[in-house]
Amino acid sequence: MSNLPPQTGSEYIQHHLEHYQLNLHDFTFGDGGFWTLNLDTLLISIFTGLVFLGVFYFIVRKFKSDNPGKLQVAVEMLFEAIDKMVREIFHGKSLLMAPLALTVFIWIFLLNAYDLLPVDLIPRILFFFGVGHFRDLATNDPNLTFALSFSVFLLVIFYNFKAKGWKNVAKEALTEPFGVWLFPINFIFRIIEEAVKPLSLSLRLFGNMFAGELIFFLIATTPWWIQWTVGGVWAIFHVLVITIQAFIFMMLTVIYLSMAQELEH
Amino acid sequence: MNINLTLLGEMLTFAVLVWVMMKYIWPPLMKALEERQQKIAAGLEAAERGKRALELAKDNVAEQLRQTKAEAAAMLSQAGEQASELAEKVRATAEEERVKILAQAKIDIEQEVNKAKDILQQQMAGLVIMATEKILKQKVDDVTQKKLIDELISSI
Repeated sequence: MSNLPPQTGSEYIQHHLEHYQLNLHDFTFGDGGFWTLNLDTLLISIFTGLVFLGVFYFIVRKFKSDNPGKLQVAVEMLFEAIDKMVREIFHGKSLLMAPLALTVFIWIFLLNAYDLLPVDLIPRILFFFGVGHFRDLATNDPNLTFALSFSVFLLVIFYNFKAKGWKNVAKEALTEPFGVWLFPINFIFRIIEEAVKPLSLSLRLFGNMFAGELIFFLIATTPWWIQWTVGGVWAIFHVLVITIQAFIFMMLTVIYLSMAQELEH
Repeated sequence: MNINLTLLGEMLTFAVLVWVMMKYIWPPLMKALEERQQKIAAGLEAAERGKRALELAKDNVAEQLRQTKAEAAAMLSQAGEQASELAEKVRATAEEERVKILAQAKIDIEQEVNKAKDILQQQMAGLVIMATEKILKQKVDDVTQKKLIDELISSI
């Protein structure tokens, strides 16, 4: 990092925590309050999404029933595993549920996997193209994790009303768990219960990935000859973390949605 | 870590990704997988059917073989029976024929004998007449008479 501006450890980390941003007020690069786009998050997530959709689409188009290739078999296994899991948890009939679960899992898993790239690789390459700050790990941008969990939240609300109807949802929200005479408390409880779901979903993913990334930054500030030991151990451990976090996010998404559309009585 | 417009951008991205997955990727792949499952199930079923058919054919063959053997044995025994019956018949016919021929032969012999007797009688009568004539023609003494009678007897 000889030709990069930050020199000390904290400066180095600080530098890495800045997004590549587009200010929509005057279309300059930089922070512009709410009207800002995190270009790095958007680019990485859209690119990754296109890549896996492209691969899947290619496999669907070239589907060979009799003599499948290795990639096709792997994708088939993934599809079947997710399909089975969704069938076990989600007892309604929904065309959306399984594709949603698969998209959540693959997308988050792949975005998490950027964490395993050397922390300076992509930022350094882009630095030569004039990009000062670039964070390649999209899942430690709360914008992305909240976008995911908020989408799930909207779906939960939608499924509540779709499966139960207005009356039942209102009845449920006002009379449970303490009975009809304490309906304000019941209602507040329900609001908290529903609001906690997207919050916990997104903050769990964000927290795990942010912490993991931070550890990688810290390891990157150690002398180069020691990095491979701690870095290696942490990376191997992190393979587990990124998979588990993607899996948990998918699992909870399906569970929340199945809870939303199941009548309790 | 500020929340900004990226949130909406990511929600839109997510929605599009899920939509594409739901519309263009998940259904055809699941359909293809189901089709293959059905194909495999059908193949296994066909194999099972083939196996059953083979067993049935084997049973059939054994049954037919048994039947054929039984038939052959029956035919053989029938043929033997027929043959012995025929032989019996032939023997009976032959016996009858023999008896008939024998009887005929007896009758023939008898007739021959009778004929011979007749001839003998006639000859004897002739001889007697001749001898009587000779005796009557000559004066006969006892010796001559004896000689004559001897001559007569030897000529008979």
